[in-house]
Amino acid sequence: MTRRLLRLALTAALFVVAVPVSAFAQTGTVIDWGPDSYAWETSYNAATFRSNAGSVLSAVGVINGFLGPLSSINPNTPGTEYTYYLTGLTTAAGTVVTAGPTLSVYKTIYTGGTIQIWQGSPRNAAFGTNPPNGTVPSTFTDGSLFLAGTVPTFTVTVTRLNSNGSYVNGNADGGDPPNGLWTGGSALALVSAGGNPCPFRITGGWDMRPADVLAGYVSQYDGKIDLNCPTPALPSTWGKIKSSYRD
Amino acid sequence: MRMRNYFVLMALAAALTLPARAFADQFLADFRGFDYEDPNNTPGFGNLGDGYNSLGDVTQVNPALLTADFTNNQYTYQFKDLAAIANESAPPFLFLFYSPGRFRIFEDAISGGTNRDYGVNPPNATAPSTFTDGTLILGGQVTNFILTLDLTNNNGSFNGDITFDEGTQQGSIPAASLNGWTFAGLTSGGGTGTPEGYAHQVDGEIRVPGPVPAGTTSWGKVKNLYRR
Repeated sequence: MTRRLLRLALTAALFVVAVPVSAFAQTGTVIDWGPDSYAWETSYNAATFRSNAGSVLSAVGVINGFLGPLSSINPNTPGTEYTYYLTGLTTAAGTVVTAGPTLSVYKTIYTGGTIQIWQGSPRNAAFGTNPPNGTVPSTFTDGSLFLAGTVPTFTVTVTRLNSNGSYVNGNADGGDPPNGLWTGGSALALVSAGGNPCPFRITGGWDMRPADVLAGYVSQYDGKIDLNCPTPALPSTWGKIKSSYRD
Repeated sequence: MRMRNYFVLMALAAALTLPARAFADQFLADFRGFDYEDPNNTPGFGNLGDGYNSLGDVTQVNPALLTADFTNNQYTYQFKDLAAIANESAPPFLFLFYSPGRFRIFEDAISGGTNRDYGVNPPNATAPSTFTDGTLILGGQVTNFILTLDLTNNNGSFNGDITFDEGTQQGSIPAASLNGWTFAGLTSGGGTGTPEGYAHQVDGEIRVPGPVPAGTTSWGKVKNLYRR
């Protein structure tokens, strides 16, 4: 019986040794933004509430929170601003509608995006109207590059009333498991583990109430980025593993 | 009487000089947290009769409407008392409709106060209690609360109307802006850091009606208002 238990324990230990990345210890929100964030599209039909196939989604915003490994940085430092620019997200199929008795869901899947986060002075981010314009994205991409990454997938899901198409609620999600990949920027080391950038996931609330959205934009995007950082397994020896099961 | 007309005309002239606003809502507060069901009479999320709760941090406020000192205080929020009373299905989506509940924002000193702690499997010894201690600065009744759930990935979103009726800073919000609304995205799964026993990561805002936009008009039309 003892032998059998020992064999089981050794098998489990072998699994740990053989799988270099086994646990996700550092997870959760690392970057957050709120009301100062808007998205636009190249081919959105405001009458049908649908993005046409081939439409490209972009968004810009001002970051209001750094957490976890970025928590030592204050995004609200006077005179300095941290901004993001999400772009290149293209929908192949356009918006697909799933209708219920009184509510319907408008779902649009985008692929192939990138995100940049910039640190700049002074605080000059300005949305203007009908982007791209004289200040968008330029005032969100000035300064120095803080982080850059790829956003392979991004899904926007919006609920609307069947009766008149009014916006009810909505969200955005990069997908599970997290598939965003950091590729550069001065803070790359802070969002890496074991020398490798951690996967990230971009999510949040998607507000399409006309009263909340600036002219020429399609939504006000209250979002964030979550990190899904692996903890590398520590190297060990058979002797150490065996000794941990003795006595 | 003439004097009164003069003041009315002066006020109108002032209104005419104000630039018209392009949109009518204004931001009140930004929040981020987690949600859970209590009571959770039926296993799984979103069953009729279950109660919806959410706790977390208020991360930004509109300084024109609320006074907040994020350096010295911690600001937390709570949604509570919302019960799922009806649902509607559009597979794979589920729409849940809730009875009225309550939303509150609390201010607690960082030094000498109690740091908020989610713990696990709420309600527990620290949640909601460490989110609801300190000073209630703003609260209101939540109505027309609707939650959309995608059953393929358990993500979702919610919205609801909020009528603010309590709190030490209720008076700082103009009467015309006391009827606001809320929305949030709900995320489940990898990367969210959702503590055990909570259902979703929640990220959203409270918004309220903004100043009434000024309209454009002519002196002739203004004068017509006083003729008959």
